[in-house]
Amino acid sequence: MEKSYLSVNKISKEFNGIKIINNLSFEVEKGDLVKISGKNGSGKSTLLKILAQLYFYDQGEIKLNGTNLKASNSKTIISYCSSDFIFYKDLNVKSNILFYFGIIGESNNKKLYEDNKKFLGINLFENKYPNELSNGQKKKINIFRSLIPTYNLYLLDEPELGLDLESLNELDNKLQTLLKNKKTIIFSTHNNDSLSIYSKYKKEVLL
Amino acid sequence: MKNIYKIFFIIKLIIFKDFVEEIKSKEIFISIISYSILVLVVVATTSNAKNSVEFFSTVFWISISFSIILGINKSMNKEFENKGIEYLITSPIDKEIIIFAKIFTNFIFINIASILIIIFNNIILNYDLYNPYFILLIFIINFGFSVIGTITFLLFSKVRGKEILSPLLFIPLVTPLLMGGAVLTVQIINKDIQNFSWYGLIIAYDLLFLIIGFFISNIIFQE
Amino acid sequence: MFSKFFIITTFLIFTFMLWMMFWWIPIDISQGPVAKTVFIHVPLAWCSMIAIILVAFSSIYYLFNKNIFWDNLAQATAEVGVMFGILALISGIIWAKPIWGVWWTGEAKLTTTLILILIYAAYILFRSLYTNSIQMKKIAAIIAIIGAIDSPIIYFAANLWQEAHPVTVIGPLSRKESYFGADYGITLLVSVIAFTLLFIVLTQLRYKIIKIDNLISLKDKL
Repeated sequence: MEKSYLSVNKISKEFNGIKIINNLSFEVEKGDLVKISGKNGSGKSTLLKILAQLYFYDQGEIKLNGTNLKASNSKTIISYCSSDFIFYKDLNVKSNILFYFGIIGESNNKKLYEDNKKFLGINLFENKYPNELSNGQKKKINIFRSLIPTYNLYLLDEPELGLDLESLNELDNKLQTLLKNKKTIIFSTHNNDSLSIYSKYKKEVLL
Repeated sequence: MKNIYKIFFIIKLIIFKDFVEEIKSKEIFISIISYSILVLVVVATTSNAKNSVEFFSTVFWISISFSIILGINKSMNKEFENKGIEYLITSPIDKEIIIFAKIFTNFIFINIASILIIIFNNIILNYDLYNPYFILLIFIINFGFSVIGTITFLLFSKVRGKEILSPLLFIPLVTPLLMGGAVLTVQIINKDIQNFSWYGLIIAYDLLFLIIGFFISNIIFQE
Repeated sequence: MFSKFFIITTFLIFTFMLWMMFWWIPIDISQGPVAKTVFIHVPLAWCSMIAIILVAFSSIYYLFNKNIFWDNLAQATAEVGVMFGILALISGIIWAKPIWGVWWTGEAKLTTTLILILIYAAYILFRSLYTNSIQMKKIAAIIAIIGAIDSPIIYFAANLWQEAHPVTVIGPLSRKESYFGADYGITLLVSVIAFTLLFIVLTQLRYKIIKIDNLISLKDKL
């Protein structure tokens, strides 16, 4: 049996004694588009955070590309677009993004940024500080840093939330390009019609 | 070799990021320096025992340790207040590197602030401390402060009482450093260093907590 | 059944110890009746030392084993141990003032006890503030282990510090004439046994309460 790219095997995660995720298993092949669906509080964000290594799972096993995900340095670089706004408040937008690119090992972070800064209109507010931005603009920082560099696995937690129509189109096109390049994308959403790519999912994980 | 170069690059990047943040907000320096000046103001206005070396040593270490608690709390809070630490946790770098980079940043900030604190103490309490032994002592003790301060803050980072809890654990853990600092300060000022085993104790203590920090890095960051 | 037998035995030995302490042995000539505080002070200090070792081992076992029994045991032992430590300090202070003439000396043992009480007080405070999750238990275990690793170093540093600051005491005991015969020795042994049993009983009771507390809070959430 061929080993799948990402295999999640009977994982559980509890908070305050309540099991948010209980005995969940699924497999993802390389290049798949996977949708995670469920009600509010069913554990979609938790599952994505476990895959992004922000949380430890309590039981079970997750293997990414053959290696255990619990190892602290995964050779595979994972992109995680959170539904929270994540930034350093004393760095402007450009510095926040450049810092992140440097941390994940992009050798030429400045060039990568300059080539792509028109994506989602980041160049229009690149010198502003995050506290001066609207929520939609803060979300764009998240999306920018999780989609522009080259990753192997993309984890997106409701990326379309808070974006205007034009940005939604740009996001859709970007995700379509990634899918064509055989990148693995796992997303969660409540709004299936917001992006056309959402209807093209290959697998669905129900929580 | 390439790996070590990469690690140095990332640590340099994190330290540089902290400096850029500090240049913008100046929170850490202002809190460390103003707190230590306030301690000195209280001492200067309430006490006349300015001829006692022990008194100077006590005041100095009180002002350093409490202002450092404030400084480290402010510095570490920057990582957690808008979840910027998640940049570091979700990236492929080792958690040990994150802790080491934060310890080093705190170490640099504390040292710069300590030099200023020494100058203020010299002026207000009339002691001359431009002594290489003293500066060396400050450096090795500040390293211990930054290691223990970073670790205690991280241990309590997810609890709502962290502003109170981290000093409550920090001060008992740094007491050997404070004891060594106080004894050696008096001996250095009197130019009569008797017991070199304090230096060994301080350095060994710093290294012990550095090792503890490396061991617990994986547990602290991931929930 | 075992618990009840244990509690009754402890009660009996404790009563016997009190009788020995107050009626059987003679009053010390140089120190006076306050010398008998040593029969409370020494066992309390001894038990708090055992408590630190127990908390550290339970925490290490919890980190490897992940069995909640060890975590509950660590919490119970820490709470009883801190209480015994505080009482040891208080009884020491009560004994010190008439004998040495000072409430507090710079002695190594006193300093170490005070610092360790603070570390484990932080441990207990942390446990009362955190939400009941596995990571918080791991962090609490780490704090307990750090405290235990630290204790010999703090004692060593306090000893070194004491050499630089010689302790000046005044009072009857500084003349080093004291009566400490065989009957004091036997009473001390009995009191150590009595307090150790008391420690075990209290830890057991506290453990049971913690276990039931956890079950109740779990049931509330379900």
